[in-house]
Amino acid sequence: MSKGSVKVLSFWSSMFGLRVHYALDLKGVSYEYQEENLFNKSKELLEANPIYAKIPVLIHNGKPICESLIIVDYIDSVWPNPHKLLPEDPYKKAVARFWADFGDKKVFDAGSRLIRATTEEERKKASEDLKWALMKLDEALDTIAPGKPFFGGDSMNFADVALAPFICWFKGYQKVGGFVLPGSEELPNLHKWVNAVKSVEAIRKSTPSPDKVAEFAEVIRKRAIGSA
Amino acid sequence: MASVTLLTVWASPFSMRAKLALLLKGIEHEDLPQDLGNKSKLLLESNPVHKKIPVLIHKGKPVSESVIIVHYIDEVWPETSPLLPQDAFLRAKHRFWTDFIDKKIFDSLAQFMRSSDGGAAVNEEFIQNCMLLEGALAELGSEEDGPFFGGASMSFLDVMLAPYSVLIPGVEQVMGLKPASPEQCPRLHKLFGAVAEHPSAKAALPQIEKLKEFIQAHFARK
Repeated sequence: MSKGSVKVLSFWSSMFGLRVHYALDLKGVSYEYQEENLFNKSKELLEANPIYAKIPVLIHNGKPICESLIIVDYIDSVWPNPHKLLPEDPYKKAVARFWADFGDKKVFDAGSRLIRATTEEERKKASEDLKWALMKLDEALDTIAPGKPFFGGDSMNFADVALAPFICWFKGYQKVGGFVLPGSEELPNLHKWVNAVKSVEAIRKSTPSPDKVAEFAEVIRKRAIGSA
Repeated sequence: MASVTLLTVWASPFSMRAKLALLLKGIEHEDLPQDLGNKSKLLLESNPVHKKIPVLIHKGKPVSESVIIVHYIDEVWPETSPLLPQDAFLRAKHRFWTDFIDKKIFDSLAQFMRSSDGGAAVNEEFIQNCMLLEGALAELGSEEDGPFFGGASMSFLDVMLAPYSVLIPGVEQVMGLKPASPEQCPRLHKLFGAVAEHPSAKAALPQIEKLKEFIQAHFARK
């Protein structure tokens, strides 16, 4: 299993960072974790990610890899077993990549706008966009893996890992943005998916408490409004 | 319907990438130009989530998002003109700089084109971003091997960047964009020159004069 030294630079509440934890933990890869202070970034982070100075960064045998989905792709190549995340079939792989990308473009984007909204109009739009995105995820689950808990069918795949980190942020979206997650009558597949993800031991390992995340979301909001 | 169909918009750099990947690998395909002002049933059915181009339809199954499409093309037809490197770390680099092109190069260019104040500040940002890309070229491609990130032949990152070899001159000549100079970005200039000579790129990319008309019509300040 050991394939050299593995270090993760991240921040405890970052959804992007969580993707990296989830990928490594699902595969049982041992790694060193370094929590970064985003207001006093370590020299190591600045050297590892000179372009963006952002987390997460994976440092494998001294070589840095940046951008969470690129990191997860890398992890899946270097440690294909156990728990391969990207399907072998090119079309299924493309579908998994599409929904991971959807997570960034539509789910994260709407959530981020929700937390930082300075007007009721902005908040409402972000809230509607987030609801739309979750509806699309619900439909996708039914199309891609009908009757199965995950995008990957019986086990989590690349898309599941990309999207799972949002789960611990829903409380924060509610507390700070007034976003009410539609119930299981409206999003039956999504709720089944959420419950299935939460039951995975490897996921529980690094997931922060939604209450703590919600507190942190308030901090982000205060800062965002303060600077507006 | 042909086995491989590409829904395109000739002026879109994202569309150009997908076309270039198919041409490099010699994949016969049907090119179906789309009207984004009046989206076809085929487009709406093939990409119901984003309703955007390009879309690749292979054996009836649609693939969307240009980066995902090029990955798919490379995986389905790996023997001819392989695009992504074999090494996992180098693959991560190609993906990182592709993402940089989309986040930074495309964005600063688009902002320049939309700016109402002449865009001097965002133009400077654009130049800085090109210089970072020049640095990537120095890191990833040895000049002795050839002008591209992939050396003598085009690789994944070259395909992603190639559309800018016509886009940048287009915006420069119509809207006064100041590109990075050959002194600032010598290898990038050589790379764009090599793209302009490459037979597949010549077929995949629009003529600069035609692109200029398009930019003039849609973006030029009155």
